[in-house]
Amino acid sequence: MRVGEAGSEIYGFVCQVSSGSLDVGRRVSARGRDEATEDTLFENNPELTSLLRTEFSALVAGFRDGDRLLHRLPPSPPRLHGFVHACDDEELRGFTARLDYLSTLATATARCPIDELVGAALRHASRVQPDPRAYLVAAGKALTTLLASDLRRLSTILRCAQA
Amino acid sequence: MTLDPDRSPRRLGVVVAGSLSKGLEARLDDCVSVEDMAVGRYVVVDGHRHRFFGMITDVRLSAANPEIVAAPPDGSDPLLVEVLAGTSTFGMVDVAPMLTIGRADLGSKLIAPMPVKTVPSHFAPVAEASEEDVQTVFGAEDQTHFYVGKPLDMDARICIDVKRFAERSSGIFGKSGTGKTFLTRLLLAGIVQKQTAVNLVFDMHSEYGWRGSSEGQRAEVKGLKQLFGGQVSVFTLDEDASLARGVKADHVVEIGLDQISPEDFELLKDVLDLSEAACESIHRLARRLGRDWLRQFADTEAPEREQIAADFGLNPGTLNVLHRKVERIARLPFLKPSVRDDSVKRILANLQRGQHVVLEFGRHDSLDAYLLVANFLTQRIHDTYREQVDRAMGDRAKMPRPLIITIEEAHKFLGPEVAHLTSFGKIARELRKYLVTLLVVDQRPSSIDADVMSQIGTRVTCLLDDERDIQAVLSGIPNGQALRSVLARLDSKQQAILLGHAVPMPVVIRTREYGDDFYKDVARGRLTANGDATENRKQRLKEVEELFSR
Repeated sequence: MRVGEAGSEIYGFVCQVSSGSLDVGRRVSARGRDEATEDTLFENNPELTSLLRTEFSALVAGFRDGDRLLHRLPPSPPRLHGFVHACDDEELRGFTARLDYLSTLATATARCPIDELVGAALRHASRVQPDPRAYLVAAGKALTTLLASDLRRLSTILRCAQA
Repeated sequence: MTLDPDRSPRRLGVVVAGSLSKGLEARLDDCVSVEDMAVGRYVVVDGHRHRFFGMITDVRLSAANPEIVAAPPDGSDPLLVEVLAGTSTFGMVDVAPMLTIGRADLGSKLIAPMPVKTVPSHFAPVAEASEEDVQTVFGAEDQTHFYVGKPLDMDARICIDVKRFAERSSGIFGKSGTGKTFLTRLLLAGIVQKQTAVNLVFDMHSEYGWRGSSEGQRAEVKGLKQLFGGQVSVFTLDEDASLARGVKADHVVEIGLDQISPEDFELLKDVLDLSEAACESIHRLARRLGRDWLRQFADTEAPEREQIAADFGLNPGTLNVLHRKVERIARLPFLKPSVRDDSVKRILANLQRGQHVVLEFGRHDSLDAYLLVANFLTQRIHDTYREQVDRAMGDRAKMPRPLIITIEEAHKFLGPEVAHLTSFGKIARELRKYLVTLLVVDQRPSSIDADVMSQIGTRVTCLLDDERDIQAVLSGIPNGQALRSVLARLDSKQQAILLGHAVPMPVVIRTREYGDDFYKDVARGRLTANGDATENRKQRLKEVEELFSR
C-alpha cells in the first residue's frame, strides 16, 4: 500500500488485519442464530455495517523522495488522515525491483508471523516481475545472507512465496 | 544485489583469506559454477596497488552454516537448492599468486612481471586472466621466446625463453607414454631455431635426428635434420640401421677400445652388476696392462687369467665373472681395437661451427652401450669445453657456443650412486660456468640425485603419479606444494607443466601440435633467423671497416 502525496509517498506492506466493533468499549456478540445464511443476517440488520469496522496495520518499508525510491524508514510518519491506496502492479514492480526492502521486512518485530509476511510479499512481488522464478532465486539468495543461513526460516519463506 | 549489469564476464569471485606461503582463498560469486573451474587455470587479482597473476591450485565446496552439511535440503524444493547454491553453499578456489604485473588502469603496464612479495587485500576481485594478461606474462614469440603451447581453456600462446632455458640444466619428466619425446623434440627444435645454443643429443631410440614415430594416427613425424637441414648433423653408431631407415648419417662413430679408461668402465657398475672387488680389479688391470687394457683383458684365456689373479692376489672367480662382462662390452660392434678417426673431435668441430649433433644409437640401444658412449663422449667434450672457456676468459669472442647435452634415461647417469662418477653429475652441478648444460629426459625424477635435481633450472613435466616423483620435481619450486594437485591431474597426453628458470611462473600447457603447422613455422623461423644472421654479418663488417679506417 501507499500513503501520501505524489513525490513523497510512503510505502508499506500490510501485515495485520482485524475487524471489530466501532465502539472500543463494546465487544461484538454472536448473532444470527435464526438466519439461514450469513448474507441474510446482514440484510436483516443493515445497521451492522455501520457498527463494525476493519483495521489493518502496515509495515513501512520505504518512501519516495522526489525521483528516488528509498528502502528505509521515512524521516516522518505518514500524515494523519492521509489517504491509503493499494499499489498497482506498476508501483509494486517499481518498489520491489531492488531487494533491499527484504531486510526491513525480515528483521521487523511486528505482531505477525514475519516469515509468512515475507513469503506473501515475495509472492506478490514476483508475480509482477518479468521473470518470477529468477526474481525468487535472487530474493532467496539475499534472504540467505539476511537470515544468517537459517535454513528452516528460509525454507518456510520460500514455500509461502511459491504457494 | 540481484543482477549486476556492470559485472565483468570474467569475474569469478573475491579474495577472502590467504597468505603468501599458502596461497589465497577466493570465494566464488553466486553465479559462477564450481564445475567451470579447473586447476591450472590462470586468474588475475586486482589489488589496490598491484595486479596479481596466479593460478588456481584447488577447488573446494564450502558451506556457511554447518547445519546445511548435517541436514542438506531434500530435492523436493528445487528453488531452495537453487537459492542456497552460491550463498549458504558456495565454491572456493585456492589461488597461488605467482607474479605482480603492474596495474593496467594505472598505466603501469610496461612494468615487467615481478615475483610476488605480498598478497592482495581482502575482497580484491578475482577474474579469469585474459589472453592479453597471459601475453604480458609469458612474452610474445621473438628472438629468444619460442612458442611451446597454449594454456588450458585459452587461446593465448605460451612462450618459453630458450635463452634462459639454455643457461641452466633442464629436465623433461613424465611417465612413459605422456609425450616426453615430443616435448623434447619440440624444445630442441626451439633451441635450434632461435640459435641460443648448440645441441648434442644422445638419441637412444633414434627419434630426434631423422623421423620419429608418433603414437597417434600419423605414423611418422619429422626429425630435426628434416626440419633444419644443414644446421643439424646426424651421427650414428649403427650405420646399417640408419641406412635401413633411409638416413644418410653424416658420420659413423667408432670408439677405440684403447680409448676407454677404467673410469669409463666403472660407470657401468650398476648395469653390469659389478662388485666393488671387480671395480678395484679393473683399475689394477689397467695399471698393469696400460691403455689397451680392455682389449687385452677381453682376449685373455682362462689360464692367463689365473696367472693374472695369482700375480695380483685377486680372486680368480671374480676375475672370470669380470671377464665375461668385459667381453660383452668389448663385443659391441662400434668398439674397434683402435680407430684412426677421432669421433670426439668431429663432434666438437661440428658443435663449434654451430651445427647441432644428434647421435643415433640404432640397434645398440641397450643401456650399457648408451651409458658407455654417452659418458665417454661427454667426458671428453666436457674437458675440451673447460679448457676453451678457461682460455677464453680474457677474450670473450673466443668463448665457445653454449652447449646443451640431451640424455635419456637420465637417472641411470645421475642416480645418487653414480652421479659423482659421471661427467653428467659434474655438468649438472657446476658446468653452467663452462657453458655446458644438460637436458635430462627421464621418467623417474625421484631416482635422480637430489643435489643434481636441485640444479635443474627449468623443469618440464608431463603427468607423474608416483608421489616421490612429484615431490622430486616440485622440490625447490616456490609454492611447489600448491602445484601438486595440478601436476597429478594433468592429462596423460599433450599436457605439461613448465616450471622454473625459463618461464616467469609455473604454467600448464596443452603442448603445441607437432605437425604441418609447426613445420611451416619452423621453415619461416629459419628464414628470418638466417636473415638476421646476414644483418649481423653486415653490421660486423661495418664495424671492422670503421675500426681500420681510423
